[in-house]
Amino acid sequence: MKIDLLDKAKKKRFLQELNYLGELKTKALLIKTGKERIRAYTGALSNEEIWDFWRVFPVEGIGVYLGKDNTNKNGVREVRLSTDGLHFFGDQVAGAILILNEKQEEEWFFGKEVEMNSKQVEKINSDFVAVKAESSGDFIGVGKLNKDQTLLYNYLPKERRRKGEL
Amino acid sequence: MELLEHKAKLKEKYPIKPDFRARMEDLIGKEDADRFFEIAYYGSPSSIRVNTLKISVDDLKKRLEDYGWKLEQPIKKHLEIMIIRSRLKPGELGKTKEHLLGYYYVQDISSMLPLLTLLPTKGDMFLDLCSSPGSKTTQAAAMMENSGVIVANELSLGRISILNSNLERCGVSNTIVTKNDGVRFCKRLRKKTKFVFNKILVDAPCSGEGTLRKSLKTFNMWNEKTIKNLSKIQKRLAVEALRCLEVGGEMVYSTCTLGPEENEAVVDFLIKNFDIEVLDVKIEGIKLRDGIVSWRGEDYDKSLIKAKRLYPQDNDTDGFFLCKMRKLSDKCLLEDKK
Repeated sequence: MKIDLLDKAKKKRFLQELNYLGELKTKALLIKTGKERIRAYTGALSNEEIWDFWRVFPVEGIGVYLGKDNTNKNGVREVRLSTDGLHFFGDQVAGAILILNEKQEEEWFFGKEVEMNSKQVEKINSDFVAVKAESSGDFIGVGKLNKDQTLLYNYLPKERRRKGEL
Repeated sequence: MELLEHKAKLKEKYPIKPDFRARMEDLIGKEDADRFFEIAYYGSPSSIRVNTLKISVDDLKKRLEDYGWKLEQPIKKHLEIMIIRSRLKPGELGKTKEHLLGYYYVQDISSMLPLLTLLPTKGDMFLDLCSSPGSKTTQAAAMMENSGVIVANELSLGRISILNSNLERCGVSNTIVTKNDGVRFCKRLRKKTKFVFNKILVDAPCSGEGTLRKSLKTFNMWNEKTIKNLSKIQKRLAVEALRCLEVGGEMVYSTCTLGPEENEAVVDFLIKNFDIEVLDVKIEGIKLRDGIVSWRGEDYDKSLIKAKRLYPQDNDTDGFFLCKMRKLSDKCLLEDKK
């Protein structure tokens, strides 16, 4: 695993790209792994110690997967949180929240794309959204709205989906 | 009637090997061995641990009770541990939103004991030497409130994938995962870094006699030769781990098996070669039996009475062994081959 410990400036830029979700702050060390994944580390290892570990051992994981910072096929930079990234920031996430009713939540957990009604999206101005369950108030993942805002693409990882058929 | 027929079929498919029966009778007596083997053919109740990194015990309890689940919290000092007393549909435990979001971890109570003994807290430097699938690593992270240092080591890449998946789901952010053979990891750590840990868990690979209720195939795979080979590996792991422990630090050696060769014999070896003190283990709400001080002609250090054994028939759980020790100095009689 190739790692890059984000300095203050890079960390600030990453968090600023997420300002559609709210003003997100964290004391965690942000680490880029591979080409596009950003991880948050809250342990007590210093930067120096992390590098020591990385030099001496095959490191297969560090901290929690926070989100992605990549360039899409159209050359546009896309920065989004993961489901665990949403949980990590918790109450700080105050913007671009899409609330699913019970039926939609059921579809969501089976990994389906979810049809939106206009009321649900009327205040949403971003492509990526934080998805919340109306029934429980939990953040249940990250989605992306299509251009018309009529369909929510599901970014819930496969291992977090219910197995079987809806 | 159907249940009895089903159990009879299982006993035919997974019979008890005579040597295995003989060992258990020597260990706990014929009547108790009968109870041990009888309960092996019945599944154990489901138990979970609330992931307090993501949700409070009370909040989760309310949610699960709203599903109609009946819950029992057997350990007063650890209310995050719950037994599900309701009969759930197949797969229901893993399908809930709460499980998918990482609000609880499905874990046998026996496997929670090492961390209830070691009790890592914020600021600790904790090594989980054989960590997959991550039940104990995630438990430690919750106790440490995602602070301090956890190093979770695992040998196999496939098992690391499972470990990482569980760490992610539970929102663990203070852990670094390394891939290495446990012995080599410890040697390399000492040779190449100045790192020492103040708490170490060696939950060693073992013959799994305590997990028959989860996997009856263990009956078919059970082999006395395997026990002897495993014992050698376990000793090597425990020795190298102890070398990475700071003076005054604590280590728990544990397995999910019951043979003394894989348990007391390993710790006895440590006692003979290192300057360590075996510590007492007390967990209220769980019946634990004392460690063995002699087995089939071999005598072990008398302090091993403080080690603890958990038998499935005592608490309706899986079986387990654990021993907690403190390192008193760096003295060691074994040659150190870094």
